[in-house]
Amino acid sequence: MIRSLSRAALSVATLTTLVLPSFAHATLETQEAALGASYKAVLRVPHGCGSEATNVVRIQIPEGFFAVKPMPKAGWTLDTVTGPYENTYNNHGTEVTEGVKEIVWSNGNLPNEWYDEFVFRGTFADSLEEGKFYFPAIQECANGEEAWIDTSGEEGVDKPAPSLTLVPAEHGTGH
Amino acid sequence: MIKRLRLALRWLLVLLPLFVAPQALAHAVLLETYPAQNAVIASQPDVMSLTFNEPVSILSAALITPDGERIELSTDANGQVLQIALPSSDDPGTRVLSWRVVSLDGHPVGGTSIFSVGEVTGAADVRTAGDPWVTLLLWLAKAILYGAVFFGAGGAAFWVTHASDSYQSPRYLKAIIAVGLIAAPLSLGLHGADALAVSLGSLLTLAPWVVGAGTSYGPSAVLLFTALVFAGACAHERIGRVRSWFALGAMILAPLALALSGHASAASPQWLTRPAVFLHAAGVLYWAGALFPLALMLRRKDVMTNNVLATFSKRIPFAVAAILVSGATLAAIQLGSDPTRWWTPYGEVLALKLGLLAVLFVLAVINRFALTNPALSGNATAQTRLRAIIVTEIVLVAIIFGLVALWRFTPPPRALALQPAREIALHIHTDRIMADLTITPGTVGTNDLSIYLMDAEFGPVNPLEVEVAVSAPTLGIESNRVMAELGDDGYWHATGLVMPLAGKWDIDVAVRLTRFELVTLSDRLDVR
Repeated sequence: MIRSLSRAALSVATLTTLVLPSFAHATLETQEAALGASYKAVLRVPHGCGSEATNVVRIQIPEGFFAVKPMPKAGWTLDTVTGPYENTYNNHGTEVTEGVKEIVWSNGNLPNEWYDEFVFRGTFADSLEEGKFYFPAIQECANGEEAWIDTSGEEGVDKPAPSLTLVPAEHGTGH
Repeated sequence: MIKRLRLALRWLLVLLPLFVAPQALAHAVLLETYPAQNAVIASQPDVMSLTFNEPVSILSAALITPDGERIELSTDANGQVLQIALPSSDDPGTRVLSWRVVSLDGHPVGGTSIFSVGEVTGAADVRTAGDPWVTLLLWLAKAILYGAVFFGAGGAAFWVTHASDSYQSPRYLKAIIAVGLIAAPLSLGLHGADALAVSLGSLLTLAPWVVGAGTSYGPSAVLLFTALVFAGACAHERIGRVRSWFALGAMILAPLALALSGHASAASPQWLTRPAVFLHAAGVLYWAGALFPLALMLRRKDVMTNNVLATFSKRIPFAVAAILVSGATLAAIQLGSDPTRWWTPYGEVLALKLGLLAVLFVLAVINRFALTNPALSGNATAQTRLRAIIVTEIVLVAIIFGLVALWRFTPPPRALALQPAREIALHIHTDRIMADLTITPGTVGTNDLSIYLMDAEFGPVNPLEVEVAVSAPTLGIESNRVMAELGDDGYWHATGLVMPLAGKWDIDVAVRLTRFELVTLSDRLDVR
């Protein structure tokens, strides 16, 4: 009895340690997407800057993720920064050469003790390479920031950029 | 009254040199050279200059040419900046100047300065280490000299000031003093040979003796010798008044000699360190000096023994207090304020010494509080035990002298802290940016870092911020992070990076290029 209890306690402890680090980082809800497919990104913001509330959330849209549409959010002002793409992308037969490069939710108030999600969608170009794809994100607070912008992909870095894995397109996919 | 005043005046005259001695700092430390260390220059300058932190005198200098020839340079340069004329040559290649200087504290310092003309051809590792036999004998001579001064001269002085006139000093005190009279001049020659880094055989020539006498140890050796002569005279003399004067002379000269040289005396502030060394040596002179006479008297067990033992046990607390206060002061100054530097050979010797001292104090306390009174009241067992413990104390004190003589070869942490040593230079590049890093001093302890950032085409980079982190995963030391600041010189400066242990250290420079772009440059250093 005691043994199984302690074993349970141990597994709970292990689980907690395994789960906690990823929960403490800003991450994407869906960790995988197919090349050439559309993707709904849900950025999970687990905490503020130290003990401060988050007032601004910025997400950089890297080259290759086009036709981006952010979801407005009650209590936050939504802005986008647009500009020309380096490459041309085909959005259902239409050539796309420019679009959203950065999304900014500002004038909000997300206390450190609370949790929230920020949503946007878009399409991954089929010309992208398989593997990790990063959406660098920054939380801005009154007196500081949390910059989730480390795209080195190394284990144990302090503030990794939110990322997902791009996999090959499924056979016969054309929506 | 007038007699007392006269005595005070005499003391003042004797002690005066302690306070007006020239301002000496620490071991001489090379601050910079021209041409700069490892510089590659177009043509060889006529004169090489070495800048030190304090005035030094050159003992020897040799230039090793690119084709490996060693040219002894004759120079008598001295001062804070040494100008050494180089034989003219425009052969391309690396030159090595091997130099050896002596500083105010009497310690020789050697080093090599390297520069290249036109191209780097490399050069053999040139060592300036001396003859190990000289080192060993120098240590032995100093240890014996300390023993002779403290046991012999201190013993003779104790004997004549505590025993009644009718007793002649024991013969073996004279023998110890005689050994010291040989060791003192010998240590001077060995000191010179060590300073010049020449072999033992060169003691047959004049050079080491002249150089030895020329260092700050010269006057010390002469004074120690004189103190021993005084002690010998006082042991030999029968007339009480005369021998008391000799004893007083020996007891003032010996501590004075030690206050004149050595790294404790050379430390700053001198108005504190020199009197502290004097006080320390005087205290030890009384304590150590009492041991042989007391052991002898306890064997004789006559009327005089009781008087002397009573007087000694009344006076010894003052000597011990002087030793402790001055010793603690000097140790604090010598170790410096950076605890990461304490564990050096100097610190190890100090720790051993303190360990032995602790044992010694325990024995002394047993003697003083458990055995002295029974011994005074005639308890034979107590007297025998007291004597056995005193003999043990003599052995311990002798070992301590051996340890203290080792300090001749170990620069104190305070001097190491001044050392610019070697700085570590690194070039790290990624496909995005490159960085030139300089880590100063590049040794265990607190380091400063300057970073020059370039893009892949050597163009300027203007990052938003730069953060430096050092960690030693193999030593189990987590990151120490410091934000760098952009200086007017275009370099990013991070100060106060602490690397407390020797070993492999990872250095990460996180460069925030734009709001969303972070590039981390990483490398590994070998910190010693």
